[in-house]
Amino acid sequence: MREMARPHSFLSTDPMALPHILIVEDDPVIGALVARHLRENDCRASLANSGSEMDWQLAASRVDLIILDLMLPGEDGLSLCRRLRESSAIPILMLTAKSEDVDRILGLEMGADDYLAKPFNPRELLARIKAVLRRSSRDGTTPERPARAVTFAGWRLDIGMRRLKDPEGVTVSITSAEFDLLRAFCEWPGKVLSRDQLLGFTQHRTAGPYERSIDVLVSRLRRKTERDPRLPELIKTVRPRGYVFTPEVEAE
Amino acid sequence: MSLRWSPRRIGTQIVALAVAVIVIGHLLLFGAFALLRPFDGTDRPTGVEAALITAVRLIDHTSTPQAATQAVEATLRAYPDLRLAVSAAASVPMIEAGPLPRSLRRALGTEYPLWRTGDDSESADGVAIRLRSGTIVTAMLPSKLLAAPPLFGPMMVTLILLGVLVILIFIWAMRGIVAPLSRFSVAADQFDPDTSFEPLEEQGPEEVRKAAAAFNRMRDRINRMVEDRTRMLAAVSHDLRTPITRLRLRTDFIKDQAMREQMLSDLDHMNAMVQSALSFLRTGKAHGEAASLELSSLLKTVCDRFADEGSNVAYDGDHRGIVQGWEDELHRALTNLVQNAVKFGDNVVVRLRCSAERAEIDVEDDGPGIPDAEKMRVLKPFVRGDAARAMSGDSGFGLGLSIADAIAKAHGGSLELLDRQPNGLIVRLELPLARAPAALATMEKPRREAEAFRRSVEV
Repeated sequence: MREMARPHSFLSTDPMALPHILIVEDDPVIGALVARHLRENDCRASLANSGSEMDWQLAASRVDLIILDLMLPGEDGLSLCRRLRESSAIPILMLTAKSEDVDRILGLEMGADDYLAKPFNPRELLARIKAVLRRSSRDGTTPERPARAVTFAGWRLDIGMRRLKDPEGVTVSITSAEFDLLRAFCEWPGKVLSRDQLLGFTQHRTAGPYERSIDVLVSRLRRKTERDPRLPELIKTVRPRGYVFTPEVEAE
Repeated sequence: MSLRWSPRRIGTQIVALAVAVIVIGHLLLFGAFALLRPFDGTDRPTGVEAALITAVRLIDHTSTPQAATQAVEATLRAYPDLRLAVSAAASVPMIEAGPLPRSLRRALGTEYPLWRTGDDSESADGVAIRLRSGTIVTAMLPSKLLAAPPLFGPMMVTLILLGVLVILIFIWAMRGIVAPLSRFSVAADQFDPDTSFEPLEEQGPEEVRKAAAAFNRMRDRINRMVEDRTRMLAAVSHDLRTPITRLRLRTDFIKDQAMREQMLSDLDHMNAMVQSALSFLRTGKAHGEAASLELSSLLKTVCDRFADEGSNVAYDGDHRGIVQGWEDELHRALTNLVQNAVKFGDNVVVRLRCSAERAEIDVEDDGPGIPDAEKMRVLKPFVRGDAARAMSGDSGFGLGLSIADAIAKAHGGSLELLDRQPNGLIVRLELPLARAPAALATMEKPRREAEAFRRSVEV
């Protein structure tokens, strides 16, 4: 079986109100399907099929996150994103048919918070939305622009590009789940995180039928990042509660 | 006698021909001169010879011995150098077959026997003529008349002139014909529709110019054809993403688990084909800056992904290997290789071995393998393995191996197919290391994770 679990409900992270997501997508079928997915997962969803409709919707009601398709008639997604950024810090998740690195970099430069290529796993979309919303709501009323990268112990985690570089500047390859786990650690340095908490950060990622336990993910991360995985210095085990990320983390 | 050595290049052919003409021509001329001896004096007798001939005839036609003696004395006085003298018969030694001037022989030889006497001084040779009366008359003829004149002088001159001419012809041939032809073949060899090129220079003799122009036009046509097809393939692949996205989104709403599984599986295949087609079109094109990549983590990432899907893929390596390259390209190449291995084998091992300068990545499966005859073929795009390997209901265009090969080359490396004993295939990807490899802290032994794995119930 491919995907086993339903994602965690958004209610658990934002009990105040259901988040309002604006989907800017010119293909009406895709727009409707994404909206349906969102509504079945405790979100309110609205649709816009062009830049001007988007402006209208933004003026009409409060929007918590924008899903923006790159290929739009009239003003294209990239310039819309840039325009939005000039006046607002609203979270933007870019959706696009292009999946090259350069396209991703460009999207992030324009100010998108995240970038997902079509065709995508709708549960991945939900998980990313959740992650972006969680980060933006933590700071209260005015969400900060999230850091593009964080550093710890000489390592550099590029949030936008989802890449890890070691102290010598060499790119160390990590899976999407490992990236999410590491990012979660970087968001809570020094805090002991339980397995359940960590699981919440990494769910919906696995493409295969077997969900990997947190222990296995931590073990894999250690093999790639620790000098000696048997004597970890970065991710330490705290029995029986969970794990703690010990180095100091700085945002760029 | 067949010619063992036949020249194959134009330059050599021209030189050989010219040399042959010169040599044969000279041989013929030499032979002709030697036989006919045109310079051998002329047929007309020289002055000295004419004097001797006249004297001999006169003496021979005198009626009385006294008149004869007078004639001899008169000749002596007129031509003292001749040293004409009368001698008694049988007292003159004869030299057989000494060379005699032809004109003399022609003038006198038919009527009078004449021979060389051997009475030679420094500059003159003695000749003897027997008159009708039996009297023998001797004379001295200048030596240079009798010796064979050298043929050498004029021959050398013509030889040198012709030699110079041949060299000039050769130079012209090289520049006008051979050089453009070499440029042609170099341009044809280097032609690659994917990279830009400079048009071939249209210069030289008219035929060469026309050929160069035709070649340039052909290159343009090929480029346009390739561009058209590439654009079409890219457009189709791209446009497929929208309907695939729609289907993917709808699939999640299907309640029937089995149905959903099958649809997701098919959608995966479709997406994989689109991906492979697009990445095939992209390889070789610019894709941003290269970065330093660590190989063991990359290989572990790929292996883990397949292990998570239930395949039996293990990693074996104990070094960190650092290469310069593009992470998503190498990831794609390795994913393709492991995907093939998983499709055709039950157990797959990915090994990393590093020497001081190169990294060797082996993707090993225990499937049916590929026969030697097919190994070259399967690296070509759009070629899939034979029936045995295709039995599992192949998906994809058969681009996986050729993409991996192209990516290997783009990183300055290579791809090789080897046989695994007792059965199976090893795909060896070699890459140049950016730095000397470092050992990892712990040995990574091949781990059969997926075998021991139990489905997690954590949610």
